[in-house]
Amino acid sequence: MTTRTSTKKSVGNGFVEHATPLLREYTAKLEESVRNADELHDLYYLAELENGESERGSSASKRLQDERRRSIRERLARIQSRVKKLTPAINQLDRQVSQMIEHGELGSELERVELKLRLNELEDMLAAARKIKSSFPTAG
Amino acid sequence: MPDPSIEWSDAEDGGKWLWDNYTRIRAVWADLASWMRGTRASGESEEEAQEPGILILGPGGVGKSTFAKLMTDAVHPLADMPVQYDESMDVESYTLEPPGDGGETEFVVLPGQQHRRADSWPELLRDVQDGRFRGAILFSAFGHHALGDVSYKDSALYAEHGRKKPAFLRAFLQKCRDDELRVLSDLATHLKLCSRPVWMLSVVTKQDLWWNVRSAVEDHYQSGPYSAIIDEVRNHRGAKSFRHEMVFASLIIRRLMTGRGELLKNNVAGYDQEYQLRSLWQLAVTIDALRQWEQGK
Repeated sequence: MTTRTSTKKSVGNGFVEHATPLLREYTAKLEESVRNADELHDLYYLAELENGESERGSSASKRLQDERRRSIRERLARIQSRVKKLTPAINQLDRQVSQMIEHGELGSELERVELKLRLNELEDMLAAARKIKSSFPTAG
Repeated sequence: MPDPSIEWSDAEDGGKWLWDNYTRIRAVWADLASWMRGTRASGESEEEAQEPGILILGPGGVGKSTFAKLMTDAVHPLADMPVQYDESMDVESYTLEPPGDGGETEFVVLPGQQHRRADSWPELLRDVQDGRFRGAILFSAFGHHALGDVSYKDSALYAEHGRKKPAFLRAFLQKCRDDELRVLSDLATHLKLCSRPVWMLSVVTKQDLWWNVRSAVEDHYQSGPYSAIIDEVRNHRGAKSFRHEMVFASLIIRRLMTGRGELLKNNVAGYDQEYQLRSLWQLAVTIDALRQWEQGK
């Protein structure tokens, strides 16, 4: 058993051991960005609805609503900026993993399957993160 | 379609020749692109004017995306071709924008890596059967498929062949040629069942890498198992509803390198832009033959 573990680690210069945590980490980061952006869209929509109701309220209440929406817009911009900065390196990780799945010397076919599954998750989440909208819905 | 004259003696002359002839070839290509776009009949809506698309497929690293970018003017072949292989992660779509009121045509490029095929190929190959595509362009490269961001030393084949580069390269080229046949076989199954007349263009790229053994390459595609599969489709469908053409070309002159900058194979000495431009011309002539077939001439 000890021998097998040591052989496995030497294969592909330990690529799977290095790549798997990275795939997990950046899939999770993208997922968090997508989830936060969705929540911000919901919050903004609620703020728009409340704004409609506060039209009849005090000017202090209107200022508060404006401030709230400005804050939400800024938070969304930060998420978009984060995704934009992560994307080039994630693409590079994606292509390295893809080429290793295609051609690489790996410890077993199961490792190839594991990499493929994790790569699919990363690509799905990257596609979702690229679709984060910069505009907000209005209560209309 | 007259062959461009090729007569030049020095570098300055050569540059002028390339520019002049590229301009002529570009004009022909623009004409072909216009044919692919189709035209909208009077009273036809934009949706109705949508021409069936063109499917582009082949293994990874054989020039599919490069070709689509050339046809849609996304890049200039003499000025700004990509220097490094950039693997496509997903199905790519390039639209030939309609001139005036013409209908659009879509180039659909399938990702070539084997591990990506199960996700994206079956649905689009069924579309071939259903007649969504007027033609399919299948790319091969006599096994000279680009390796992306990976060292050849990390490949399973390198380990299986005594960790010797020459043995690895021989095995890699053979494995890639086998994969080219598998892709053709997959496509052929669906072409046989296609519900409309359909054409197929085989483009064998990277001529600059195998120019010294071009007779063997031409035999491989025109007399071996490759042509046997094409014959099966032709016999099954008949000449009136299936047309196949083949062209050997070099879309970009480049050594075979890995994404890590390791040299796998040099270009063949003497293969220069003159030959490349001739091959692009041949590609245009071949597409023109398909146009004539499609138009019933």
